[in-house]
Amino acid sequence: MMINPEVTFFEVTLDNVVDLIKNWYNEEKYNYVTVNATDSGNGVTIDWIFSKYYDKNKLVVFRAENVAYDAKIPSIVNVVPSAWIAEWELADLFGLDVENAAKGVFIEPDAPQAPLRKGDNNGK
Amino acid sequence: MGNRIVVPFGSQHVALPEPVSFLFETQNEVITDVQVNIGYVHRGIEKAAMTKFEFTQLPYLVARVCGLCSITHAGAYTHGIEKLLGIETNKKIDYLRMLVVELDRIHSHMLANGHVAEVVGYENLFMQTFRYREDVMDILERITGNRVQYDYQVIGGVARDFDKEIEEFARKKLLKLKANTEKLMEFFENDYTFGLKTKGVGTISKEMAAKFNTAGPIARASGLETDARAEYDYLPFEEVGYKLQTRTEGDVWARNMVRFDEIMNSIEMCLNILDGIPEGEHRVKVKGRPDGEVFIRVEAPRGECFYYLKGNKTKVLDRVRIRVPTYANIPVLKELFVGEKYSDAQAIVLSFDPCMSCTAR
Repeated sequence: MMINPEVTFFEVTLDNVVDLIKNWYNEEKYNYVTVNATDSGNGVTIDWIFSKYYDKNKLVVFRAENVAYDAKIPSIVNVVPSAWIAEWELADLFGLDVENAAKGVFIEPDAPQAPLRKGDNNGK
Repeated sequence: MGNRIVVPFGSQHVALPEPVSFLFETQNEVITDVQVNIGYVHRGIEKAAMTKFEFTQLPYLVARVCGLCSITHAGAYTHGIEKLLGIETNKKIDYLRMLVVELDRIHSHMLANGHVAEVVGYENLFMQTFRYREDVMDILERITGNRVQYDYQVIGGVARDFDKEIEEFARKKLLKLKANTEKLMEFFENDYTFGLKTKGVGTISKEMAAKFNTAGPIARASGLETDARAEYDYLPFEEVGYKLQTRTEGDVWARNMVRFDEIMNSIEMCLNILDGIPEGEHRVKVKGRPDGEVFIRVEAPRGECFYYLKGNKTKVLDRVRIRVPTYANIPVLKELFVGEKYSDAQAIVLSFDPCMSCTAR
């Protein structure tokens, strides 16, 4: 069920998401909010979320569903320079393989690893 | 050409209110590179929200993401859950929520500006700012019962009702605060020496603010017109006199001034709210279990706070994602340091009003 009529979704894959965002994104019109992962227990759904400046109630979400835990997640840093921080957090908190992500920035090496992972390797 | 020196700044440092570590590479006192480590206080609040607590308990948990903007976190969460449950609140609840949200903004901005005053060498100004801030803390204590962790916004309304006595107390304090804030603004805006330490320091252009998706007063001090209060309908701010505040200079000075502009606007909004709080219940009935997903944006004192909630018709949510404004502002802060003098690093960091408690929630 979708409660927010103001959200526009684009279904994407890990292969085309960077190109789609690159062709669509305009930093003067859109604000990159974050990248979010939701673990279903069998894989993750990844949302790249943007809001529109100066406009009421406009959100755009690029959504990749059923992403395997061991998939290589592409980085959008070359399109959105501020994206690294949320990408690195995905790598730390979900144990995902995100392109060019440094590990250990959000949680220390002796902390439980991938704490938000529900499926395999939970708390590895 | 001087030697290259690596200078650690934090995680514990007299200028830092919370633990964050910057490793500055400097040459001739000028920063040439910086590494950031923000993982010192990770508290696993999102994990706890999805495993340890029922959705009805989460307003109290997410309020503990931050000691300063706890009202905002509880407000964002309750707004999201109310959307998932299909709950309609009344106008009185909206007005009481707006009142505490704006009071929260005032005291948070005063704290931020006081901290900047302290690190540029104005200890008395810091103390004076904090002394004036006590008035807004007193109002919040009268309304919510607490000075810091308010737990005021609950699913379906607010925890305590409001009466004429509190209204009169709040009005008196707000008028006093307005006069005191004008005095502070005069100093921050016009003092020559204060200007030397803050004008032209840590400047972010409007283009840079947009490029790095900067949030809140940091963006607005650079002329970027963005504010969740104007971009997302969650409370009727325009009805009580909300006006988007911007400056164009983009430096430490402008970040302080835009906060003062917002304090003055928030005081006006609070006075208008007090003039027009409608009659009605302060809490409506809540039933059902959350199902579906919701994307929430609210304007915390430090900038846009984003919540993603996903329910599955059980008592425990599938996903609670919180993106806080300091988190959004770290990429621009990292870029900004390069080319600045090491001696200005303290003022630049504090002018961002960083909250590591939020960032490493």
